[in-house]
Amino acid sequence: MEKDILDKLKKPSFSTPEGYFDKLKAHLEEIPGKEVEVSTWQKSRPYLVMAACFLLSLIVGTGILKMTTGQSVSDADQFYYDLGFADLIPVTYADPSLYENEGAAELSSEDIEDYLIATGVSVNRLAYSETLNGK
Amino acid sequence: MDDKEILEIYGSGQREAAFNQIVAKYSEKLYWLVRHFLCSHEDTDDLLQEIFVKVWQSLPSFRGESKLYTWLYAIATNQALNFLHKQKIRAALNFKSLSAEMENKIDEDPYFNGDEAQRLLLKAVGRLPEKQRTVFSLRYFEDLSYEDISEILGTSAGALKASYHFAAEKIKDEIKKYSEPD
Repeated sequence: MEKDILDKLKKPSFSTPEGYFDKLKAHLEEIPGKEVEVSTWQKSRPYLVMAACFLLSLIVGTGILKMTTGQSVSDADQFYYDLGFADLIPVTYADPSLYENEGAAELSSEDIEDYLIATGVSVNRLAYSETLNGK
Repeated sequence: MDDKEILEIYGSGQREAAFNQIVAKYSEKLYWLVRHFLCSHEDTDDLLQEIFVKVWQSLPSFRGESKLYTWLYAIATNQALNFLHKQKIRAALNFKSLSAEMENKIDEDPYFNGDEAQRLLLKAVGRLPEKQRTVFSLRYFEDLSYEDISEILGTSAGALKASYHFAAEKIKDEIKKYSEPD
């Protein structure tokens, strides 16, 4: 009996507008006449679009990479070149007050200590060198 | 005119005449095939144009390795499934399922003239997984043999029989469930 359910329901359940199939055939028979010659430009357009997208993502990606990584390779080379002369370049800028004492013919040891501390020498190292100098 | 004669006409260089014979013989059959997939007259009408454009464009590459009508049914089935895939994506973007969309189409179709049981049948078919729905439609609605369906879908006849059996059982259960009095 169960097999009959599907057999019983096997009858048309859709209709179409009147005269539809005649109009459909007439419409479909026009297809060969509507055939359009595809130009070389239209054939190659999808590939050109893909190539343009690829190029654009390459340019944008390179730009973002450059902005986020900071120094370029050539800048890094220059940095290490400059580092070779580091002993000639002050570590920090000396406090301008050290140069304001125009009246002093000689620098006192205090001035020297202040300078060394300002340029980054640690207090411990300073104390050690004083010990070596017999202070 | 049988398929062999149509192919002879085509082979003699009368492409357009052969195509018109295909239109005359198969347009209505392919309409109903697609209609059972899409459940909408308007969608079917639109897709049918695309199918026959594809047939016209693909005729030069038809080698006669399969029967003409299985070749045509394969084109129509693939186009219908592609259309449903696009519908599925569109439905998902609106947070709906494809089967819900299909059920709406069946309910709102002005050209549906079946009874309630047939409405249940169509909705149940719409809820099947794609493969089972395809096999069931080709076997049940189009009365195609398993050998022909095998040529169309590229699946073995044995697998198709199993697919159809599972689909039919599911549909019978659903119809029974909805038609039983509470």
